[in-house]
Amino acid sequence: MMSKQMNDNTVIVKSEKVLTTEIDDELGLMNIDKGLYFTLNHTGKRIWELIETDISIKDLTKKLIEEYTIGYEECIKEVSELLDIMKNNNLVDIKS
Amino acid sequence: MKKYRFYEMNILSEMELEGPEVEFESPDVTIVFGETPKSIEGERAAKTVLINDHEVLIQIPKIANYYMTHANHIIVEPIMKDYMLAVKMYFVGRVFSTLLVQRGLVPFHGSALCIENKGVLITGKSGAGKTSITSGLINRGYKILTDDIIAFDNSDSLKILPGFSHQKLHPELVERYNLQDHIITYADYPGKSRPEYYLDRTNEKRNQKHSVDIVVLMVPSNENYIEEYTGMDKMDLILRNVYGGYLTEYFNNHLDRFEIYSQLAKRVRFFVLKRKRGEFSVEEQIELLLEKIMT
Repeated sequence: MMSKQMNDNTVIVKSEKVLTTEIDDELGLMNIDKGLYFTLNHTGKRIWELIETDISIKDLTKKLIEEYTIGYEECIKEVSELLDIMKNNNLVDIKS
Repeated sequence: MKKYRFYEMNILSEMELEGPEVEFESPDVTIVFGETPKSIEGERAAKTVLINDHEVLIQIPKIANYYMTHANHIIVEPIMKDYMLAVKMYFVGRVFSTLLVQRGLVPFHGSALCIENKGVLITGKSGAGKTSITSGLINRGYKILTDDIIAFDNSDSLKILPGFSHQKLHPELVERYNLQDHIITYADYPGKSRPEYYLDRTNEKRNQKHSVDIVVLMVPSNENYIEEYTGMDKMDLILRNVYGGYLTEYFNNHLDRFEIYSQLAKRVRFFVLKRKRGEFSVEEQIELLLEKIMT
């Protein structure tokens, strides 16, 4: 379920207050304000790479379904849930 | 005042600590006896710890109060003079680990040893069997690098820093390994779950920095088993086992620590060593561990 702040056309950008580290093809993130840590698996890492440039949730999902065996509806649901968590922990911002 | 050097800090102290006295011009940390504030403005990080961005007040009932400012000045106020050993031991444990976190370092609880030229850190919660396996390894001739608190420098080399030169050991282990000649003192005081000996474990490797190559997390279990972890699992385990890790959110030095966490997770092999409950199976654990270290 997508939060009220986000819809398919919402453009996601990385927060400037995040540090990353890559270990064995997985990604660790830290919010430098709060000192909170998060880890992303291979797919999460790919999403992080794709939001390097401004991208809407819809376009991000389209790219992912080209790379992974997953349908659009299921993919956008999972992407939205992940981005929601990341937004709530100040790892990504919504571009207005 | 006595001068010491622990964890690469010049320490000027009114309180006598276990370790060689050294010479230096200016201290990084000063420790004095005196009166501490009854309270400070801040958050209660734990039952005995009040904290704000530049002060920490640690109050151990019946033993002592410790007041740290700007991570470079500590006032120690003993409550009962009969328990000066306890005053010192809380200082070198809980207070010193807090100081290290406040200074942006990443302390672990446990021991570090040199095994086949590799720096091996043995960590885990109290009662997980860290001391038993460490003692068994020393008994096999491996050198202990530091005990109780392990910290690393935050340069690119990420080395284990020389710490205090004592080892805490339960009486049954002193007897098992015939270590009576190494005893400095015997400690039993209010709040201590069981008595311990403090042993002098000085050796030629203890005053040198050493690489960290392997981290072993001891976990109580129903079997003896060793498992290697990779990727972000290593990072998770490192984060969850930092000594005083609950304090990190109160100090604004996340960048320093993130660098150490990352470097550690990238460089080390990380093993979880499970220990069979209720059985003294140290030799079996050592065999499991050495087999992994050698491969």
